[in-house]
Amino acid sequence: MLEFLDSPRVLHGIYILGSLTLFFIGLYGLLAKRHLLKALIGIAVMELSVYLLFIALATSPGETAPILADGLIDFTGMADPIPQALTLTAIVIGMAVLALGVSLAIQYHRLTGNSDMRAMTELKDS
Amino acid sequence: MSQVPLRKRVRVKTLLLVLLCGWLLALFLTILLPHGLDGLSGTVGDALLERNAETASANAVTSVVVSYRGFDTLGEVTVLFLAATGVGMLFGGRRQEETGASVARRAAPNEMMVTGARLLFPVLLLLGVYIIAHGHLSPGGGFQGGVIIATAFFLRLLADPDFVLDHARVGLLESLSGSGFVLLGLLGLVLLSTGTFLGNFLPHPVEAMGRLVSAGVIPLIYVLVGVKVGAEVGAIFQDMLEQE
Repeated sequence: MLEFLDSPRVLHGIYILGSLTLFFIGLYGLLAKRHLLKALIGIAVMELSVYLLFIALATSPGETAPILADGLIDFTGMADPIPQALTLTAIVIGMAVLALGVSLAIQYHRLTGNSDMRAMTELKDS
Repeated sequence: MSQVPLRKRVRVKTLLLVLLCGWLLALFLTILLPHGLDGLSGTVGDALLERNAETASANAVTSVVVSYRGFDTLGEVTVLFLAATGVGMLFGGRRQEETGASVARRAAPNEMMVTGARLLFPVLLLLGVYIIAHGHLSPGGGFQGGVIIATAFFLRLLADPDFVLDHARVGLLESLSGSGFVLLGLLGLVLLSTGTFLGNFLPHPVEAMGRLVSAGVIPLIYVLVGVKVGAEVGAIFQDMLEQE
């Protein structure tokens, strides 16, 4: 009944639609929320959608993980390892960016007692 | 639920802007995606998979991360180090004057937390070490295992207010593993048998593929990456907890 999911076009289309939706949910969070931490969470959601898209598009139905285990003897019919390796890099960088951003937000809140982006007027000419 | 009506909680203009962006991107993709697919003949990944047996690593992702793109990994670890340093710098300033006060102010962790952490700490450490050591055989590796080890220490930090990660020792571990990574890379560059940065200068026979001791220098580098990531993420947790 669900055989149509085995065609790469359909499956990749579903993945693209899903991760695009996730990306724009994150973008909405980044643009609409005024709380600093909520904006950072929006950035994290956008990053997640890009990881999902990378991993999903690198694999076609029927390909196995690029690991020689469970009786496999040959590196054929496997998913492309490069997007997976790059995604690993991106996850670590994303974590570093999030940690630094959250620390900056906490420090800003401690110095000014303020976590609203609209009220960040310290550098404004008055 | 809050009493604010839905119309006030959703920013309609922003939502419309985001939807417009989404529609434009989808349009762009439908126009652009069919192009270039017809002439596609193999990717870099396929080429690397074909010759992956030369690294004798059963996990092709690991051989890409550590061997073929090892230089990228070095840069990535450097970015993580910069972030950890930045977090430490942001939270480290006021440590001297109120260290005593901050420990006393934190509420005592509850019994469930303490017992659970005592139970989970060794298991998490073991799992992290296993994932690091088997990075060239199974899914996982230095980054994943390092983060699991850092999580174990984070649980311990939450459960036990007297437990403190020594900054000097963590920093030493971090710099030792970082310089070990660079040193292994330079050894590969200097030795005549390889002659490239991060070249695999240890013997790595293809017959040994799938065993724990195989793939030459790859597991060593991944262990160093694991120690470094664990130390850095642990230092970030420690810095964030200390400032409470």
